[in-house]
Amino acid sequence: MKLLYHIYSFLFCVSFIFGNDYFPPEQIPPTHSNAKSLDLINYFKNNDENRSDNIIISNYRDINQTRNELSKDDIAHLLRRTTFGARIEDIQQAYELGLNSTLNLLFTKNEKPIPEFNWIYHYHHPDFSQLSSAEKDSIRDQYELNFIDLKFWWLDLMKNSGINITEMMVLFWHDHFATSSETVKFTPSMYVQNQLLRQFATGNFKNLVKTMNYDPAMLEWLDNNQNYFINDGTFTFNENYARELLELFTMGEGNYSQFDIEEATRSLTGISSDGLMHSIFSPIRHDFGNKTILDVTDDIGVDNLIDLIFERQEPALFLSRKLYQWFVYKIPDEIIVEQMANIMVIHNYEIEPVLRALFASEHFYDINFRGSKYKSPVWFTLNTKHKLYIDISNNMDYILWYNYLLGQSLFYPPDVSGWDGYRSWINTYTLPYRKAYSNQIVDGYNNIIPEWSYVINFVEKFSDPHNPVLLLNEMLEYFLAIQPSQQTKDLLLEELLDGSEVYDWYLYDPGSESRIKTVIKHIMRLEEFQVR
Amino acid sequence: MTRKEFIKKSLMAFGSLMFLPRIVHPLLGQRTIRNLQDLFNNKTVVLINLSGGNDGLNTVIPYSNDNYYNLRPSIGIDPSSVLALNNDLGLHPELSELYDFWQLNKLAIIENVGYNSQNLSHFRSTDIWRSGSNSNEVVNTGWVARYIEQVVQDIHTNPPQYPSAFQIGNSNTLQLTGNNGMTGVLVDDPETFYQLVNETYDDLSNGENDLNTYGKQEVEFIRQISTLSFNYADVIQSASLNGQNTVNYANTSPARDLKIIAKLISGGLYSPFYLVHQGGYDTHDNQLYRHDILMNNLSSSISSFITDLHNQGLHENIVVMTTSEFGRRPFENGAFGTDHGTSAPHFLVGNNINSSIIGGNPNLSSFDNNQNLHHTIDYRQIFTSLITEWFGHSQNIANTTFNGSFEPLGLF
Repeated sequence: MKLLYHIYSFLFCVSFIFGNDYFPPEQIPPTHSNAKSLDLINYFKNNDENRSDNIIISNYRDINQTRNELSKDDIAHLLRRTTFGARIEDIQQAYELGLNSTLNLLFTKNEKPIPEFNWIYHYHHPDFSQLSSAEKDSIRDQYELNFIDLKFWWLDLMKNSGINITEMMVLFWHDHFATSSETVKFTPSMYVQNQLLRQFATGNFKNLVKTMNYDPAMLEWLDNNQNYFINDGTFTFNENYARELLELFTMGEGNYSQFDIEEATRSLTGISSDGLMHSIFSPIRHDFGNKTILDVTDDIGVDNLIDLIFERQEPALFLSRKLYQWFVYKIPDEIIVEQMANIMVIHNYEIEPVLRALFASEHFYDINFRGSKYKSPVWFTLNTKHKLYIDISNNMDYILWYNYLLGQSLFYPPDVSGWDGYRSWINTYTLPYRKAYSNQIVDGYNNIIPEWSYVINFVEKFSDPHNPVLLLNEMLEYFLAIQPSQQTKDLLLEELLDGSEVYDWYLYDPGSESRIKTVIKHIMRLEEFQVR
Repeated sequence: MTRKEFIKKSLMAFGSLMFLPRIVHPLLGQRTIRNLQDLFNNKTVVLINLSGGNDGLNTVIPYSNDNYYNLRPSIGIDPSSVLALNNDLGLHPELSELYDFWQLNKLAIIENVGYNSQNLSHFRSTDIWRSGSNSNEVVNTGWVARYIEQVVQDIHTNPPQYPSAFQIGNSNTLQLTGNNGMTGVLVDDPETFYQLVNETYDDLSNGENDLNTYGKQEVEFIRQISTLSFNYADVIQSASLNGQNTVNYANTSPARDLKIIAKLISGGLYSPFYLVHQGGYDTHDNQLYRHDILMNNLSSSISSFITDLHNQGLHENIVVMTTSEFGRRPFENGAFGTDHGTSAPHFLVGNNINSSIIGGNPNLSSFDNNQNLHHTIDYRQIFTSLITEWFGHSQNIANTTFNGSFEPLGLF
């Protein structure tokens, strides 16, 4: 109950942010969604030049140089980067299938999942002008509860996705087209966007952007609802969406001018939504005059604008770089990025061929990249339980709470540029809590989390649990992308044996269960466990 | 195997060589003994954020101004109960301890504090105060952090012995987020932090300098953070064990947090910044009753804190200051409350301060477009006073911190 209390007090904080004064909003205050469009943002981001460590150039810089044979370790690497959790059987299955068949599995298109809640069919806000403030409050509370439903549903999809890349890509796009319930309070419209991202998970980037132009949540989030031509010859322009479309979604900063933004804004006039689940293009609100965008002058309409942008080389490069950072490492290898972009252009902006090439390349399996990505809070909380064969369905609120604590609430990115990720996930506050989390799911926690009791069944899945040295090594390979030092391994073995000799190890000894748990907790507290 | 168990084990396995009291980290290098106290002139400020937006007009009351009572027919504070500071202004009746400080010349009141184009969203305005930015820009680092990064230039590669800032709670990390990392610790309370760290810290850094892959470099980064939290957990815990409280604090907010801080200071923990908050100030309705309690808690907490430090002879170098994202609207709403406003007065309490009222009386006859007050003092002027007059650093450092020059107020 204490946990529920935390969640509800968190919700209270959220409602406090929304505040009575801005629901529904009378005027749009500067928020994280529009600050940049007003040219107000001032970045003081981490400066890579200050890195104390080294840039390491891979020996494999040709994406067409494919990896012929994958070791089990390579397969585990592939699954750590592309899924939310591979158990012992998954790794074995993929290993036996080999690279090509595993890739086929990863890119299998499943039927669109439909949640069971009724609220996704509620298309309309009630008329707020007719409601008392108490009634408005209760509707707002309902939306917030709906967001919890939605988060549970998505987390459940992630953990059940098996050897399939779809949900990993949905999260990628959520980070790319980062839209927040800070502004979009109507849950069904966020659900619609989430399904759109799923529909295009590994599909066509260009078509996704075209569809995103009409996404109700996006239109509200980046204020395109306030971007229209009034028939008496005047305009209400709002550059917010046009700017982010160019800067964050397609071209990347520095590859367009302020004038391009202003002209693209004109192209985007007339698309609006009611802030709910529908959007319309209304010709009488659209500016049909000639515009000059990226050196082309024409009557450039909404779809033409996207065609025009994708005539340029930047979108393919920009997205390839982001995909590289998402799947390989924070510091991109520009040669590989360029090769990915070429593949993307050859395939008319289909994502799947790009990723297939990347995941088949020697570059991807370079030992240099093992364990170089941080486990994001969502990945960390899901994966840690999944690896222990714990069904998370019953304790979803606990995962939600930890995601919040560790800094990644779904549908609530910090701003339109998404989560900073990388080293920002780890600080003096989050690291101890991460370690506490993995301890708690083994030991149990305050009647909320039951103690992990699957211990013996779990170790019996390894090749020879009666050999403690082998068992420990296989567990370390299973849990960690980077192996710890020999000294650490020695200590762990000693922990497992509790002073006795290797040949004394007896799996069914009454004390062995608790020693195995201690060792697993210890492995999960190693720094190596925070990376994948 | 936690730290304690590990020490037992490692003694068994490797003899006493492994039992080092402090870790020398390969990337952090040899720890130089450097004194955070010296860098900050041995001064400390405790910032109490009154979150939700404190109603300034019912905190420092313009009790002789008829407009005040016209604007607030039901929630105006009765002039006879006001604790008069001068002929115009008086303190809320529940601020009796702060009134005592006033009479002892230990209270300064900075009136009409705000900034241009006041944002009325809690979320944004809190970020503005914490980042030290203009209303029309979004800055992703905190002013406290940018200031600390200038004073302790190698803070991220060679952290000082004590945390450069100590925040209770994780509610908003912006203030301590610097250009290159966090500039302080976020702690629930010393006990929880210590337990959490010690139940989860394994002293296994083996000094391997093998950073030949990106993966190993990232693991090394995590080891640095782990070492940091471990080192500070020890320092904080030992201060908490050695320290004492000499007065009884109420079990309210922010008294609970101030009690922890007094104990840490008493136990020898030095930090230039302690950050706490008191919630509940978003008084859209039934304000009189709710605000009375908040004022009472605030006043008695500060009094307990200062008295506690005074009893231990620790009060000379410590001041307490309030902040809040905004004040409230001059006129009451239909629910016996007030809506989001703009400027408000703030308190500064301590021994070596210029005890006076700065910033003039609130002007209740001229409002902005939203029928809100005009400010006379920019909030960054107060912070600039802290940097230059209290900590004794140059105006240049303040200018760099705020990306602009703000005139100090002569508060000290």
